[in-house]
Amino acid sequence: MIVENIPLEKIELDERNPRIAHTLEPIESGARQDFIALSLGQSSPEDEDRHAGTTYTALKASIRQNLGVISPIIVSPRDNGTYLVIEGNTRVAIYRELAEENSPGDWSKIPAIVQPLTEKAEHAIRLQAHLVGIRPWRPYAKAKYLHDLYVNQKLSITEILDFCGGIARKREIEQYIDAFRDMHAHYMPLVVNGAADYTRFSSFVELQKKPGLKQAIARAGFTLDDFAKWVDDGKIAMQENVRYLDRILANPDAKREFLAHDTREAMKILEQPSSNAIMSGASLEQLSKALAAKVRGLNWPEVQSMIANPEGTTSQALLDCLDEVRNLVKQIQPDSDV
Amino acid sequence: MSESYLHKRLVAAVVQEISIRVSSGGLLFVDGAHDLSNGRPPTLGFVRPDVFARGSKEVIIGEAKTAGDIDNGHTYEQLQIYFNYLAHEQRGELWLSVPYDAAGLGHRVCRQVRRTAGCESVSFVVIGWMFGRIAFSRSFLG
Repeated sequence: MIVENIPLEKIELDERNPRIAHTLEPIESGARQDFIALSLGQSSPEDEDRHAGTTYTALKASIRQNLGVISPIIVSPRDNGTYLVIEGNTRVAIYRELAEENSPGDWSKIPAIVQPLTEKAEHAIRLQAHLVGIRPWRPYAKAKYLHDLYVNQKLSITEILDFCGGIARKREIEQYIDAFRDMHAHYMPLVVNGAADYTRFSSFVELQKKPGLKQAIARAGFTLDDFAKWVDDGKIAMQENVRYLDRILANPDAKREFLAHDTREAMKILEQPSSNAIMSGASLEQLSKALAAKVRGLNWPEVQSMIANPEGTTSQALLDCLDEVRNLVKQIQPDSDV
Repeated sequence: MSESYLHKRLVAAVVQEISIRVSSGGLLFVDGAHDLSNGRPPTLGFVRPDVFARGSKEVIIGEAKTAGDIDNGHTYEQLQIYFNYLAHEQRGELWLSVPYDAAGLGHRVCRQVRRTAGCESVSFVVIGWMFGRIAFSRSFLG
């Protein structure tokens, strides 16, 4: 394997870089090289949270400090004499920035492994580099790439797994591909003015994870379009709550709270102990006092309703209760005239 | 770009955009040192927006958020206060300045808070920014 120093002006950044491919879609092809560099330089929420040496800024500082990269990039030669970056787009972007900033050091050339590659080999390198890389892709970007390999490049799941070098699981890849498909079919049409919230992708992954969940949504009379609307409206308060949707939709009270508010309110209903459980745990004294307070608190329309419907469940329950209480009181106070 | 530096750039970028809107006869207030500022923005409830502008026809509240700071309880409370304030103006607008990749997230949060607050009459703009050798932005109306 030979490492060459390739002039930066001969290097093209990869427009199919999975990390930023979704942001390039609305950009005209002529402007994409500038846009790729700009996009690679932005910090991601994961980078902001990590506070570790994996951010673009940290990588740039490291390269500046070391006056160059430690690991060569991988490029594939093109017929027009240029080289397409297969792995190392961020490092090339950093070299260009350091050159423009006149930072001490020679940033005109970058160490690269030049390797004529088939398209399949390019995919293998990308997957191996970024599924275990120091800056792993965001879930949506990963899913977009896997979906493209499976649907457009016609690779089988087994072939994709082989590219990943055994570090991925078949089920995870299938879930990501299905989640991407569902998100595009049902959520993207809802997106207003192109402002897609890619952080919602996890909701669609959770949808795939739980067996029978899609069927439960259908049984409740809803569709995946409805699910996408719930995601877009913020009704799925925490994305992992998707896994409880079957229980929520099966419980009338929880379902009502979910449709009126969100999963957080619905879960409060599901997490409440049932009224039967509460009642059977109460003492006779507590129940007696509660019943007396309830009867004293009845308003006239409620009483009228029972008078009008003596065969109704509430009236019959009261009459049954009266019989039981009367029998007990006669034993407590034999001389009473209840 | 460290988080606070990114926040400052997002504020500076939205100030520039808002100043164009309220240029003739308008007043602009920025939280922090800025050449175009007439002073600190007013406190609304218990929060002070990054930018407050009053033009001849509109009132604009501008807020900058980094990606990790959009979807949390504090931001929801802030935005609700802003929407409620702007709902009482004849023409109130909320401008949210965020990193480009977080524009969709910002848009969803704004829609959600606006709906919850019952302030559907208030319009908002989410501006997604990328900073580097050149600055690139895209606006998403709401």
